[in-house]
Amino acid sequence: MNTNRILFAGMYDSGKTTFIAALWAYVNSDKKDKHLKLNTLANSENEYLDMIRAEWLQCKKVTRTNLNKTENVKMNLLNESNSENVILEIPDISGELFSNHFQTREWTSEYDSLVNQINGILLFINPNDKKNRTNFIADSLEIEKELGGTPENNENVNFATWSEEQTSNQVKLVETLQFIEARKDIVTPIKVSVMVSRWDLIEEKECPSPEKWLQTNMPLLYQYLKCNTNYFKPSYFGVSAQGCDYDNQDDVDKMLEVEPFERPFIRLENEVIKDLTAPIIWLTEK
Amino acid sequence: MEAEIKKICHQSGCKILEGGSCLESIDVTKDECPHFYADSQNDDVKDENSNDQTKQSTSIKLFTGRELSFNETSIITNRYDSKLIAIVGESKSGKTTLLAEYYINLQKQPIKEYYFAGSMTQTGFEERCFYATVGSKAKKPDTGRTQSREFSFLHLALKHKDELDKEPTHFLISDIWGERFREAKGSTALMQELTILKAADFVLFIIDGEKIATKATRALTIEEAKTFIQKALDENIFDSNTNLKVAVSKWDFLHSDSSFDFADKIKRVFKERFESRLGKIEFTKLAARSENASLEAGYGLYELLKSWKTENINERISDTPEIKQSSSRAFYKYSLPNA
Repeated sequence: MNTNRILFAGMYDSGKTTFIAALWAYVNSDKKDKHLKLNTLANSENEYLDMIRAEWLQCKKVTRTNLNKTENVKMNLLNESNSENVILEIPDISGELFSNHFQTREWTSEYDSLVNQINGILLFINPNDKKNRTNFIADSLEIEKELGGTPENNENVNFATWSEEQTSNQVKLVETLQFIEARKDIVTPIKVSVMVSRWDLIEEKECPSPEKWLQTNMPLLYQYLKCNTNYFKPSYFGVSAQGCDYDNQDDVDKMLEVEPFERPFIRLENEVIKDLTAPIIWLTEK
Repeated sequence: MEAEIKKICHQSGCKILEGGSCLESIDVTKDECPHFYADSQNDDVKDENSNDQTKQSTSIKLFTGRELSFNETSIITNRYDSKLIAIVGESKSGKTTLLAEYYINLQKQPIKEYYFAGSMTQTGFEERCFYATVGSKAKKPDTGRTQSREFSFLHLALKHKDELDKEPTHFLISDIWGERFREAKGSTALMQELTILKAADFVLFIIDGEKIATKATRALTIEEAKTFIQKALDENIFDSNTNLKVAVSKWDFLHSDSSFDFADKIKRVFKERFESRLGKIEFTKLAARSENASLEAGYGLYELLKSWKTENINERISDTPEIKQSSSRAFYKYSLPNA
């Protein structure tokens, strides 16, 4: 039996809980040829999982009831390819916690133990989050100049005061990884599945690979991952756990007509697959 | 019983716990001081009742992310070979802006072939970059004034894109209130307090290009720069080991000014006067933020970084036999008697 503790990291509203809900629905589903499937519900507390799955199955936005509480999620699964029992322990941590670590520069001893036990990290990113990277004035001025605007000076400006809240997600995520590197005795590199969520919205428009998306949109984090392969081994996934934008009722109606396990998809470098477990399988492979 | 966390100041020379005042005049009761915090080695923080078996969550301190004092740089220098860069220049000459712009550029893309490999002082960078962000409400990019009278250091680890499997180069770049340099050029005692400059692998001396561009302050600005270097040499703060680069900052103010001859007024004059007494002297022009449409922002930054990255310090030191190093490790290199 293999127990795999996986850290789901990411800022607030980056898609962590929705992915867990979709994953629980997927492993419980009757889909044939799944790589990972439910082994048993015995000896498990699955109330939280069932609750978030209920929302997901109805195409409702999956919400956390308590932002401050870490929900300890455990899935007892079977790997179909080798008949191995796989226990997934996934603490569902609020994104606020990662911001708090950046701000307070401390974490609890429980979290420290968790960090020291993890086998892999799923790093979630919401591509629509405006805080992914900092807006610099020089870039705004460039655009303004092209539009014929005249730059103003800083006289009589009522400056805002700096606080950690102003820091971009890419800086905070680099710090999250640096904290882990500083606290964990890393013998072999920790696998990191970089999960760019809401990929259906990107797939519609431009369709770069998930790695290219990160390189373009969160360059500091991308460079950090490229440079630290002795600590972290990254792989890049685009993930649509919902399958569509729930604010669009037509899309939701269409989605409700298909089998729930057919809704989500994963974008790899060159292909789209319907196997939601792919990022987990990659993490747990030796 | 809740343990009372006793904080201590980690900045050498600070007398705050001895009833004195904070070295940097910071109100430590408001948690504003980056050096005033509890740490795991502080035995006083232990709760007297810590032997009880109740499982209570305790806090684990993480690195502060803020600028490092000279002593605190050991968290980098004990682990890695590092390059210490001292940036010298009077107030508002562009020292902190230069630092900030390196970090700002890396947030957008690699600096040509140099990739961001990490930083233990991201919070320190974030604070210094703030007035260049839309969130500050500034109308044009600015930099807050550095207040610290003591040398503090920002850490940046970089890798060459073709050497991503190798160890990064760790830079420790100084940031200090420019007034210290203005004062030191007229005082033996104050100049001799700048001993950290002796430990620097590279010294970047910044001359304010905006002041040179103004005819009324041009001669004075250049003379004052020469006075500082002369004083530093005469007080043995600079010597034949010093690798000095003289930079004229804010070059966008001078780029189109035909009345100023950089080669003659800076390069020739400084070389003739100081070259024989220094390990090395070079010259550069910088425009970290350009307001001149014909000069790109970030002018000179890449070439400067490349010179720091590629120059082999050990080779340089071996050319000067009077310096005997017991180890190539930066820990030994940076251990100063008066630091």
